[in-house]
Amino acid sequence: MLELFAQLTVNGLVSGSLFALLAISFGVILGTTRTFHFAHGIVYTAAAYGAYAFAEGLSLPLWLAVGLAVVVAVLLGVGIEVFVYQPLRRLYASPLTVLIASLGVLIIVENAIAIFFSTDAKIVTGFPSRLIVLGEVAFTTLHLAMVLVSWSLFFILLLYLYRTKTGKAMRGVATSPEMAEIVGIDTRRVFVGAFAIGSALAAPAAILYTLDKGATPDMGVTAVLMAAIAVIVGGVGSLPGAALGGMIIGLARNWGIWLLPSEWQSAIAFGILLLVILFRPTGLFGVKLRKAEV
Amino acid sequence: MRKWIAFITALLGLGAIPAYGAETYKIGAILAMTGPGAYYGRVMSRGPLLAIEEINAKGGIDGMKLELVIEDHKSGQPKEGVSAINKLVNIDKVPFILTSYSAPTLAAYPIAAEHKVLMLNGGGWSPDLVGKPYLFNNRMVGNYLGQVIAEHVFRKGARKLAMIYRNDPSGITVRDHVRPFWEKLGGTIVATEVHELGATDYAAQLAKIKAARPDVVATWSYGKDLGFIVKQARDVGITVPLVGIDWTPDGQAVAGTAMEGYEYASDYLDPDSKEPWTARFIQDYKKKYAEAPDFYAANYYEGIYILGELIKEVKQKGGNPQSGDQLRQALLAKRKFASVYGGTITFNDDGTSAKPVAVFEVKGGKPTVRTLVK
Repeated sequence: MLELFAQLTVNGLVSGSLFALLAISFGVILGTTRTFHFAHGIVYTAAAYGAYAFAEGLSLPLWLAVGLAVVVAVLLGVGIEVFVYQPLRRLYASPLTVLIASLGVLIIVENAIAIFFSTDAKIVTGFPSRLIVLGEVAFTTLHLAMVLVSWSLFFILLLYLYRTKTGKAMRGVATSPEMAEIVGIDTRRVFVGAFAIGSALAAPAAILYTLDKGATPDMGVTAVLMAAIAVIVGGVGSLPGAALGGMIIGLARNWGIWLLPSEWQSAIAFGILLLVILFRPTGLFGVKLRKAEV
Repeated sequence: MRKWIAFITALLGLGAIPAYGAETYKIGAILAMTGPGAYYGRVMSRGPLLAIEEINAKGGIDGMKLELVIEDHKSGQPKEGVSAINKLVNIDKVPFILTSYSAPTLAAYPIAAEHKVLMLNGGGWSPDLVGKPYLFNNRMVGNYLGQVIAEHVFRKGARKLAMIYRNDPSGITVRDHVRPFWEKLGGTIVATEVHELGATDYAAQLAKIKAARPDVVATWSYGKDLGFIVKQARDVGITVPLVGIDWTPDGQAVAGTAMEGYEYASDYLDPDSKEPWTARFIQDYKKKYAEAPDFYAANYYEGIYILGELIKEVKQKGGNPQSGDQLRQALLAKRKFASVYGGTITFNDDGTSAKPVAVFEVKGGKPTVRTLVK
């Protein structure tokens, strides 16, 4: 039936936009620093719980709580880079070691959040959400905000990377850290910048999601997995690719259940990942990556 | 002379021994006194303690005072349930135990059956609590509530039902029970969707439910999950009535204004009841504990009064009220007891019971009674 398809398409465009934002936040870090920053998931979660703690716990106005939550995310993301990844890199740790360390950080912080806040879903109120009905399709002003915020941030990120000096430096490091060093770019600083930007982009995604569907301590794991899949599907090293990957996942998850039972929704994303890895491993717009020894 | 003094002292000494007769009747309780469910242990113990206080103030049952021995299953741990019942049965030698939570009750049950100790559950809702000879439930089973609300909406004219249920025994049994019931009434089921416990994203299921164009959407779900379902149902443009079998304040907090008009069937105690016993119970509970009782407190309060009736029945027939077996026989013989909800509660052979259940409607963020189902 067509009304279901139309509604699912709208759902897909909305969640696809959030996935796109998540994907570029993860892609910036992966592309620039070549770190599979699994703990990005917990930066996402921390932003959500930060917003909850400031808005509901301390009763701050929503805009202030959001701002502070972004700060929390950036501090956490940069903190992980400085205190976990940098030391490991100095010791010439293998990518596998870094991945495990990242996973360890994710698990520890996730459990700390669960202990402190308990495991039931937390909601954040204060966003004036109203229903918009267009024929057979309905969505809320919050969903509209998700789409607008995600693509605006994507646009702003592209402006930064292509029009500013530091942005260009970041692209340089992404292409080749050794060459960047040679031409005098401080790669350590750029790395930190990438983590700061990536974390700052994950925060609005987390907060918008929480305003709609609440926050749980395990929300970050799904988020980072979807982000990683989107980046791989879109092609590592390409931000438009990552964004497109996010949209593809969002739409596929919804179109998929047009015919399949809704329980299959999570499986669809991994199904797509499998197909892409088998038939087009570099992704849709992938740039050739240096081989990483694991 | 000394012999006389010794003899008289001995007689006086004998007089100092308390007269045999004022024994106490020990009642066991296995509740969630610690852990995340400590709220339930608190309210479930307050009910019986209030009941015992009232009964003892009137001189007890035929002069026999009641005493509650509370053990802790630590919010549902089966292992603790077993230790609890072992202590109650072997050391306190109770013939009757108020129990809570499905898991520790089911773990403790074999010991109760072996020692012929009668158990009464006022909190757990698992279908496995049914059909056990020494276990009775004065908590309404989800299946029955599902039936009540289904009948309610059918009478209001709904014919096409969409269901969304939780993927665990509490949701699955209601689904399986209501489906044939609804079809027998003459309605059709246009959509059936499932969700995991604790899920917060229902967009997929609700989109499908909306497309099926139901007259009413039924949620066999509980707590906060219910709140998310209701809120997202309205957010995706579902305008038909939403109904269910549960409502909690934290589910309400999640759904906010979306919950307005939501109707549900429950053994939720009516706080504004005009029934004499109900009103008195609520008032006395409020006075003693500084907050209004919920239906859990009422169930366990009622449990003590039911036991009181059983003890009287057994004694009347010249039996031993300390025998769990005889208490059980008395229960099966008498069946009907006055309920603190108003009206009566009737126990069935399989351990379930029927008592006044109401359909509530949420107005202004609070449930109000719509109709009482006898």
